[in-house]
This record gives sequence, structure tokens and C-alpha cells, in this order.
Amino acid sequence: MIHLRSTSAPRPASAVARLTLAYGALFIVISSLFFAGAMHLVVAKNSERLQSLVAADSRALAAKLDEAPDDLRIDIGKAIVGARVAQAKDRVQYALVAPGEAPMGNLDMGAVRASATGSLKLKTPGWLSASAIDRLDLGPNAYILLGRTQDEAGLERDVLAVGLLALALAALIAFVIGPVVSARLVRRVEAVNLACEAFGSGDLTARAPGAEVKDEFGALARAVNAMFDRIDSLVGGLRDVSNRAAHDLRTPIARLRTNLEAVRSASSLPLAHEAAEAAIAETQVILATFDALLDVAEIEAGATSNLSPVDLAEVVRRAATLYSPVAEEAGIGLELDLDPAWVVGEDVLLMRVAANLLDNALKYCPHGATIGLTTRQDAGSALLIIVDDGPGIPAPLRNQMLQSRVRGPGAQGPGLGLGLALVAAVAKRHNAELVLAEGPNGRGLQTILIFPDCARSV
Amino acid sequence: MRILLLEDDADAADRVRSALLDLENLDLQVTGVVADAVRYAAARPFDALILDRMVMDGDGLDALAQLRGFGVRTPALVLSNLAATRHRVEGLEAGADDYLVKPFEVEELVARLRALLRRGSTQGHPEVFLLGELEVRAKARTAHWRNRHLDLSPKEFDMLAFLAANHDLVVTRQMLWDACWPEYRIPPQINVIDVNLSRLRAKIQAVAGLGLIETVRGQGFRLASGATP
Repeated sequence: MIHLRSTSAPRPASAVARLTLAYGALFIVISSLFFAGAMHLVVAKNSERLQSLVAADSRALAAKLDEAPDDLRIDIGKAIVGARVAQAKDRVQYALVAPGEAPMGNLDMGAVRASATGSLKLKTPGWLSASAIDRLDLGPNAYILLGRTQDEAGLERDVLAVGLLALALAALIAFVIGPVVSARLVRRVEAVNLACEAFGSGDLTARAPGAEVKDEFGALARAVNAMFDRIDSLVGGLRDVSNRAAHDLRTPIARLRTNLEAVRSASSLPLAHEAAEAAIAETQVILATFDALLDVAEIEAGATSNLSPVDLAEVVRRAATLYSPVAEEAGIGLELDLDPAWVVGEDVLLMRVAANLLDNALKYCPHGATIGLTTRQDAGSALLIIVDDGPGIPAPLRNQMLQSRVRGPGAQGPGLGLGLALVAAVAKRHNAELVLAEGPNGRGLQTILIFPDCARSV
Repeated sequence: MRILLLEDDADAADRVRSALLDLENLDLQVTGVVADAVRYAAARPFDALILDRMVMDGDGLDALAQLRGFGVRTPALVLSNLAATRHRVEGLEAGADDYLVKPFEVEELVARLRALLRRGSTQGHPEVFLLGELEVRAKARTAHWRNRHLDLSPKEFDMLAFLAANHDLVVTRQMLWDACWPEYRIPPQINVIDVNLSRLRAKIQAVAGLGLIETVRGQGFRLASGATP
């Protein structure tokens, strides 16, 4: 049974945007609380200062009145209040209340509130301004009220203005710039998402944009792209293997078929036997080719990984030891010029490369030829060079061989095509460059592998 | 001859069975389950184990590793579709004595199994092989024909010693490669094997007047024990 992906996509909602707004709101609430507390403290301090001024005035007035006889206190009070109101010299406002008389003075009695505990309060002209009031008793039911309000409230207003401005800025950042910035980030993540969807639906060339930016989102894009590259090369490798399998297996399978037809139409048992033997031999070729293809595919896919520092000189020395009887038998000289050349790689794969190249050179060189094997460290690279003075390969065919791995001229038996494919696969796996060139004196073949050296290859 | 076969594919099991029919007193037990293979092989002595790698409930190598863990030293041959060099190395490291890739030649399976059984039956490796006029001393690494010394290179001697240890049996190139070039861990280099073998043969020929080592067409080589002229 096939499960279709649900088509009702979740409502597009950005986690980044939500988070930005939530942080903005939280920031504004905390700032507001802090700011309100500060304002409260400023107002309370002002009130306190005002109260102490009024109290000082009240004490001075009381001192004057205390000198007067009791029955004259109200009249003297009236005189002083009247004089002070007339002068309007200070900021204190007065109201003298005596029984049976209307209050005199410039203090608006309507602004005075008495609380349940008997303490007095003076209404302020604005909610930010401070006020203070005091009462001086003259006798039974007669008293003077001294009030003072700070109507200008300049400091508070300034603090308020600055605070509100800061809050407005915070709100702007949280609710306008924040979403804009987060929308940008969301768009970048969204672009990576789109690339993933495109890749997932089969477009292997899709890549996430913004990989060049040096931040977390750039790193995400880079990681995603690296993954895509890997998948792409694996899939490409598979395609390559099937192409090569089709190419390399077609001939032996056709021969196998011919052999089997010969078995079927054989006129005698010995002839049938012979054809059957040939058919079996052909299946060996097919299996060997198949194994070689799988080997190359596996190396290209990088399924094996036993990386360690390897000295190419040691690898080549061992390969030469292995092949020296073959070379002697063929009358071909081996010249070794081996300087240490360290690479990070897989010992076994590098040995296969050296053995393959040597095997090829020995197969194609005539009696009396010389094969030179060189390893050395050179300008940040490790080099492995195999050069022979055999028949060589014409330049056009060399390029063709590197690309499609066709057999060299005069190839017999399974060999060079896949051998070189294996060398190329191992080279690719070690980030090494494979070069086929003409030998030094315009003859023979020179195979050069240029490895990044130990320090740079990982 | 008691042999345990771990193989969950009935056709493949039949193929192995028919390949082994030539063996004397064959008593073949077949199972397709790793756990059963471990149980059987731990419970009663077998002469050899033939283990497939990819069976229903796991990998034959796991069975082998468990058995080796129990101290069961029965010679084991792994028979698998997994053909990469890496897989061979895995097999030998898990304690297999030999590793043969499917599809296999019937003769090759028999040759390898016989070699395995012989190795299992001798107490370690014998020091001296006396094959007619040929005398091969494994520890001293010397070979003589009628007391005349054969001057062999180390690899040539390794090949001769391996052929002598498996005298009268067919030895394939893969077997020779595994036995004589174990340090290389790369697939058999046919050229190298053939050149070394022909040199070995020529050196014997020069002293003995005959090559001794016969080529078995399409299979490998054989050193006969009655190698007298």
C-alpha cells in the first residue's frame, strides 16, 4: 500500500517571527515596569522635598504666632496671611479658616481633601506633579493651611519623555525591524527548504543558496549542499557503473551466447564439451568484470574508510618487489627513485593502484624496455610517477581513456580499461589528480598521480 | 565426514550438497538460521563448517565469531556473494580459514574443502613433507630433490610448501595468492602468480628433469605425491 503525503500543509507560521515578537513583548513589559518604578520614585522624592519645605514654612509661621497672646492669634494670623498673599512673594499658598467666617487666602479649599485618618492632601494640577500641605492651629476651629504644589514638574516630564522614546524605539525594533530581520532569516531557511524539496523530487542539480555567507545559516546551506554533492556523486557513480557494466559486459555476454548456441548445434559430444568449456570460461570473464565494476563503484562511493598516513615510496617499493619476477621474466628493467612521499589514504587501495599501473606497464612494454618508478614530495604535493619507454599512447586516445576508460591499443584480456578506472577511482577518493602524458623523450607513457600531501589532504 | 552447512537458499544448499557427494561418508547437516548453526556446531564435533554470509537472521560471520569465542576451532569456509577484497578480509579476520565467492566452481569448493580438512586433521603443520623424491622442510625452508638442493626464492618456496601441504589436491590461484602473498591484501595478481609458478617449475625441472607441478585446466595446479619418474 502506498501512503500519499498529506496535501494539507500546516499553516505557514514562522518560528523565528513568533520568537522575535515574544522576546519584543517581554522586553517592553520589563522596560515599562522598570520605567514606572523609576517615575514613582522621582515623584515620591519630589513630594517629600516639598513636604519638608512646607513644614519649614509652617514652623516659621508658628514661631511668629506663638509670641502673640492667644486672643489675638487669629487676627495676627489674618494680617500675616493677608500680607503674604498680597506680596505673593513665595510659592506657598495660604488659607485661614476661622469659625463663622469665609476662608481667606489664595489656597483653593476645593483642592484640599481630608483622608479618613485626618491627614490632609492637596490635589495636584497634573498627575505627575507633587504637592504638600500642612496645618497650623490657631485656636478652637481656627487654623491656617499652608499648601504648595510643584506645577512645573520639568524633571518628571523630561524623564517621561526619554522613557517613552526608549519604549517606542524598543517597540519599533520588536514589532517592525524584528519581523523584517527575522523574515530575512526565514527566507534564507525557506530557500534551503525549497532546495531540499527540489532535490527530493529528483532535481539532483538543486543546491541551497547563501552558502557563501559566513554565519549559521550559511553553514546550514553548506552542510546541505555537501550532502547533496555526496548523494549526487553516489547516484552519478551508480549511473556510471551501469553504463560501464552495459559497455564492458556486452561483449563477453555476446560471446557466451555464441558458445551456448554452439553447444546447442554441436554435432558431437566432444564438440559440445568444448563449446561448454568456452562458455564457462566466458562466465569467468563476466564475473571478473562484474567484480571489478563493483570494486570501482565501491571505491568511488567511499564505502571503505581506513585512512592513515601512508608513504607512497613504501607502497611502490612493495609493488616493485611483487612484480620484479614478472619484469625479469619479460626482460624489462625496473628503475626505482623513491623519496618519502607521505599521503593520508588507504594503504590497500594505494597498493592496488601501484600494482595495477605496474601490471599495465609490464603488459604493454616490449622486451628490453625500462619502467621508471618515482615518488617524491614536491611543493605541497606527493607525487607518484610511472614512466616507461614502451609504445606509448597517442594523445587523443589518452584523453579518451581518462574519460571513458576504453582499452589501450593492443589490449588483450581483461585489463587496462577497468584497471585505469580503478586507478581513477582511487585517485578521486584521495583527492589526487591523475595525468596521462607522453614519456620524457617523446616516447612511452608517463602516468602521474598528484596527491595533496599529508598536511593538506584532510 | 561431518560437515555443517549454513545456507538459507534451498537451491544453493543442493548445489553444495551435490558438489560434496564425492567426499567419503558425507554427513551433511544443513540449517538456514545463524542461531541453529551456532547451537549445532557447539554441541557436536564437525569436520568442517561451510557458512553463507547473508542468511535470514544475520551474517554467517557472526556465527563464526561466536563459535571461535566458545573455543570451537573447527575449520570453516565462508561461501558468499560478497566479493570485495574488504569482505574477504572481514571473513578471514572473523576466524574463517578460507573464503570462497559465489558462484563457485564445484571443483574449487571441493579443492578448498579438502585442503581445509587436511589442515584440520594434521596436528599443526608437519615439519617435513616427503613426496616421492621431493623433500620439503617447512621450518628450515629448504627443498631437496634426491638430496639435491633446490635454490628457490622465498615466494617460490612458499608456493612449493603450500602445494606440498595440499599434495594431490587442486590448488587454485586464489588459494596460492592467499597463502603466499598474505601481506598484500589485494586481489590476486594473476601475472605474479603465474610467473612465480613457472619459475618454480623451471627450477624443479632443471634439477629433477620434470616439472612435478601439473596444471589443472581452468582450475589451478596440483602437486602429486607419487612424484617419482
